[in-house]
Parts: sequence; C-alpha cells; structure tokens
Amino acid sequence: MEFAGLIEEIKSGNESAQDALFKKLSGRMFIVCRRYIKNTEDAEERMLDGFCNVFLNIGSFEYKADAAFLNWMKQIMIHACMRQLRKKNTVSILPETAAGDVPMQDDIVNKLSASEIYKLIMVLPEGYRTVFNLYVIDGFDHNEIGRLLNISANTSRTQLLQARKLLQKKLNSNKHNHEPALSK
Amino acid sequence: MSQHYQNKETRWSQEVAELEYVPGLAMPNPADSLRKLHKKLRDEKRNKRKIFFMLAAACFTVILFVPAVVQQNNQPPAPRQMASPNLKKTIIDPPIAKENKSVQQKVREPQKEMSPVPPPVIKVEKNEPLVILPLPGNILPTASDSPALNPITETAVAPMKRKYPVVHINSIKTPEGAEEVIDDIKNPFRRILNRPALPPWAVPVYSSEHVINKNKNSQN
Repeated sequence: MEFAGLIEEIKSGNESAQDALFKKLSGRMFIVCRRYIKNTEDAEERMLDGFCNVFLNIGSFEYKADAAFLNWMKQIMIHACMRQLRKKNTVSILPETAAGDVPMQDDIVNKLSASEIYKLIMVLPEGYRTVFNLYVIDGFDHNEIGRLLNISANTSRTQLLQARKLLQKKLNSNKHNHEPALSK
Repeated sequence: MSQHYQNKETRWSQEVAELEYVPGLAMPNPADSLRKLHKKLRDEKRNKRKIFFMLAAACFTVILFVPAVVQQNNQPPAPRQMASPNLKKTIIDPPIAKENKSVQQKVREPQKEMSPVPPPVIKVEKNEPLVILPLPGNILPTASDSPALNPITETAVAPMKRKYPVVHINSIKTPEGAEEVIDDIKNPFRRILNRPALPPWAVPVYSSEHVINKNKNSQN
C-alpha cells in the first residue's frame, strides 16, 4: 500500500504528489528504459514521456496492489521505448549465423549478480537485446513482441534463440576472465 | 508475467527486471529531469487545450456557414453569360423566372374574368363641348367600387387595355355658344373640359395614353 495514497492525491490534482512519485520511481524506470535504449539522454527522454503518460492517464487506473501499479508503469515505459525504436527503425534483425552454436548454461547465469547480467545484456546487439528483454526479462510472448516491433512471431523466436546463444557465449568468456570473482 | 517469473530458471531475469540501481548507469540529474517533466506536462496540457479550441472553432464555423450556404443555394441563380460563336453575349434566363411569371399570371387571371367597372356613360347632346379622358392606368376600380370582386384583384395593378371613344381636341373648332357642362360630379372617372366636341359621327378612337400625350402636347 505504498503508492495508494500517492495515487489518490495525484488523481485529485496534487502536483507535489507527482513529484514524490517521480522521486521514488524515476531511478527504477530509468533502468528499465536503459535496457532498451543505450543512449542515456534518449532513455531519459523516454522515461519522461512515460511519466507524462502515467500522470495523464492515472485517472483511469484502478489501484489494487503496488506490484500491479509498478507493472502498469513499466508497461507504459516499455511502450514509450518501443515507439522510439519503431520511429527510428533501429531494431536491426541480425542473420541467424551471427551467433555461434553455444549451449545454454543456466548455472553460470545463476552465479552472476543481477547488475552483471544487466551489463551483459546491454552489450548485445540492439535487435537481440530488444527481443531478449521483452521475452525473458519483461515476460512478453512472441506474438506481442511481433506486434510491438512489426516483425513476425517466428522472427522473434529466432532472434531470441540467437540472443541466448550470444549471451551464453559472453557469459562463458566472462566466466573465464573473472573466475575468481565469480567463485566467491 | 507472474507465471513467467515463477519459473525457476528465470529467477535471475526477475532480479534484473526489479533492479532499482545499476552502478554506473544511474540517472544523471534527477532535479533537471523533474523540471523537464513539469515542462512536458505543461506542454501536453497546452496542446490539449489548443486542440479543444481548434475543434470548437471548427464546429462554430460549420454552425455559422452551413445555414448561410443552404440559404444561398435556395436563392435563384444569377443569369449566366455565355459567349456565343459570333462573340455576342447571350443572356439565359434562370428557370425559376418562369415560376414568377406563373405567379403573376395567377394574380392576373381573376382580373380577366372580372367584369371591370364600365366607364361612365355620358350623355352627349349635339354641339356639347365634352371630352372624356380617363386618368392613367393605375387608377382602377377598387373593392369599394365593386364589392363583389375577388379579393386577389385588389393587389393586381395593371393598366386597362380598353379603348375609349375620345375626341381629338386639335381637330375641333369651338362652336359658338359652347358652355361648360358638369353632369356627374360624383364619378371620379369623369373629367369635363371646356372644349368643343366633334359630332358623334366624327369621333375618332384612340387609346387613353395616346390621348393624354396628345393633350399634353396641345397644352404646351
């Protein structure tokens, strides 16, 4: 019930409540936007667009739980980022041979911290990163990803597979480079 | 999404999704971002207001101009000028003019049927100096003169194309001992002049306008 009062005050037009919500959630939402958009300024702009949409449409939101509110906000931020990616047409679908045939090793992933995984994801090419983020991190299915990126569901599947392989490759190289740190 | 995160293999992905801070990837200036957000919100509200006013202006324009256009379409069109092959301008009457004509005809029709008040009968004796000159055509018998007439005929103004026996004044010699005779004063259609009259077998027939013109010329 952390955000219930704030949401009610924002609905009644209290601007200080808007500032309070922004201060609480801007960091988290900025991290969400940075996962999709590499440029810091562009990511900040998309986050501001997202907050703008949140404040303009919060009247239609019915509060049930904090998790639902956070999920709603995150969806708005993701859609704001997708709008820019579609507008700039920066989602380049790489050919399937770009990544090698590397088996997935989840045990290596589990040994890494969330921040380290985040940084590894940021190194992926934009097309792979977007599909990987949407499917694995944010839980969209392939049909939704196809609609968001104007690609087919099969293309989304292929991109995800290639993204997994490339990420696994990077994890393996990371493991060899930082074996002592990871073993701790 | 909750089911997605319940998968054991995607535990790390949930952790990544709920990250609130990543070292080296923090927002550069939160206060500046907040200022930008306020500006964006103001612009959004202004844009909404602008769109609202534009829509209102468009509706107002439509409300004002549609009746005017409809009214203009109902009016008869002006006659078109078309260039004929020999470069003479031909004026084509609009079709609605026919309707006006028919209306006029309708008004005049009862006038044909009605029996106009007969001109006053004046008994002229021999050698009496009498000339009957009816007044111009706008003096017509009114309803008071003939109450049995149709009321529509009251508004119809048309000259009576009726020929009256009149006497040309210039061709008359004044007989000796002529006297002015006033016979029927109450009748407004009667004008008696102190002029000699021709004998009945020599009276020519003119239209009323012709006689009046001639009369004017003779007076001048």
